[in-house]
Amino acid sequence: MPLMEGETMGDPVFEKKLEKLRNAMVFQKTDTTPNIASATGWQIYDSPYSTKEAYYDFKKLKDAIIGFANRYDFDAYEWNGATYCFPFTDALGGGAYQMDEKTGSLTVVDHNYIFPEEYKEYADDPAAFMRKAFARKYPNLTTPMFEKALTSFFTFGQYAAGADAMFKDEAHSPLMSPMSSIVMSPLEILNSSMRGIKDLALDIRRNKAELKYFLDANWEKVQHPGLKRNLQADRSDYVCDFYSAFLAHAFLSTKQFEELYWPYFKEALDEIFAAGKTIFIFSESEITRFYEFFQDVPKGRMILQVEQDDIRDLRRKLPNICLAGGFPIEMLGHGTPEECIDIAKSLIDDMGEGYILSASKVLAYPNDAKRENLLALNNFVREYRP
Amino acid sequence: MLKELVGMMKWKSTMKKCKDMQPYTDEWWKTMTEALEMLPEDQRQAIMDNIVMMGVSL
Repeated sequence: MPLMEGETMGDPVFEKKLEKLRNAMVFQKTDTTPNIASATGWQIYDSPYSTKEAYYDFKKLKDAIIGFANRYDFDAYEWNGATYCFPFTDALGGGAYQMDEKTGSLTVVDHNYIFPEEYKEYADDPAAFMRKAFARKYPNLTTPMFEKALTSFFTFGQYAAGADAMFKDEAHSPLMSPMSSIVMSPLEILNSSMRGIKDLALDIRRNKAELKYFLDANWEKVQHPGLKRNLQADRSDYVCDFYSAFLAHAFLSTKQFEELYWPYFKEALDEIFAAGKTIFIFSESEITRFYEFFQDVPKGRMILQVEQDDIRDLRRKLPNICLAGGFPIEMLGHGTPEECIDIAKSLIDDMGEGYILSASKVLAYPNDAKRENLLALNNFVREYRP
Repeated sequence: MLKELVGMMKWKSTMKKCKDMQPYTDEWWKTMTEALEMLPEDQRQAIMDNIVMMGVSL
């Protein structure tokens, strides 16, 4: 049938991958098991570029990402573009991410830009307090430095804005979720951006009343308005409509999680599901001990990617949620192709519907995978019909 | 495209005027926000807030 004016030809490869992932999310049988990549750092080690070259040159970074995608041909990709902001934070005076130029590895420095007696001040005016935190983080900033940072910010923005199209047009693959539709429990903001793990853990015990000022204000004045805006957005080119990351739960007791973490996130989930939307959650560390909180999630509306959990045990506990993960990263780096295939077969056979294969950790360091293992694994998963 | 370039040129000239200004005063934040002339007026504050948020986070 000829195309109408303004109509474009769909990409059958992209559409097939998107359909496969969405079918897995709703526990429909797929011809082969979906296989997704989370290889933020490793894809650069696997490219002709050094980490520094790629992180400071978006054209090289794009070459590395697309080269990786075309070499291994995953069904979908996770993309944390914010990691690639070195030119921006360098111009400001240096950010939280530190690069070891010898190994190319990245580490995040624990940082602290707010104190318990300031939680109320944040609650009164979050935007004004963030400017205070910004000044605290970059004390030696000058106007010319800020100008340079702004230029980097907009250059990065142009690159980030084109990332969806880059994956769709050049890798014929969807992203798991849009970078712009992120919803986090407010405790994560303190944990990853403002207070640091150690001091936050102390605040939970010693300054809980003050801490709640921050959590309530961050939810009501920052996260929730963002959620409302994003509920209106068209995310039909992504596997899921929203993204979240669970990191801070790792050092919480069940009681602390119930009191300080879950209420805000539950409200977000209720609104996402009421609007007919879906969410992809990446959970660092282990989350099985909180499984009861997830038992009411409507079947087929969430993909939960886990790291250190026993994924077969979690499958039994959460038959309502599509799970991703489970493939031991150690085997990708240190096993043989045959061993990788055996493990993948066993996982796929055991997990059945509602499962997406992915590594048990983000591939971040040079020894996290060997090219021959990843190629053998993906060739097998692409063909294996359980 | 042309509009964006003109906006960038205005931004550069505003920045030049402010290069000796003391950072982080209310006046500095106001001037930096106004300097984003290549953006529609109603988006400038949101973009500046986003820059600050990313600067603190990353």
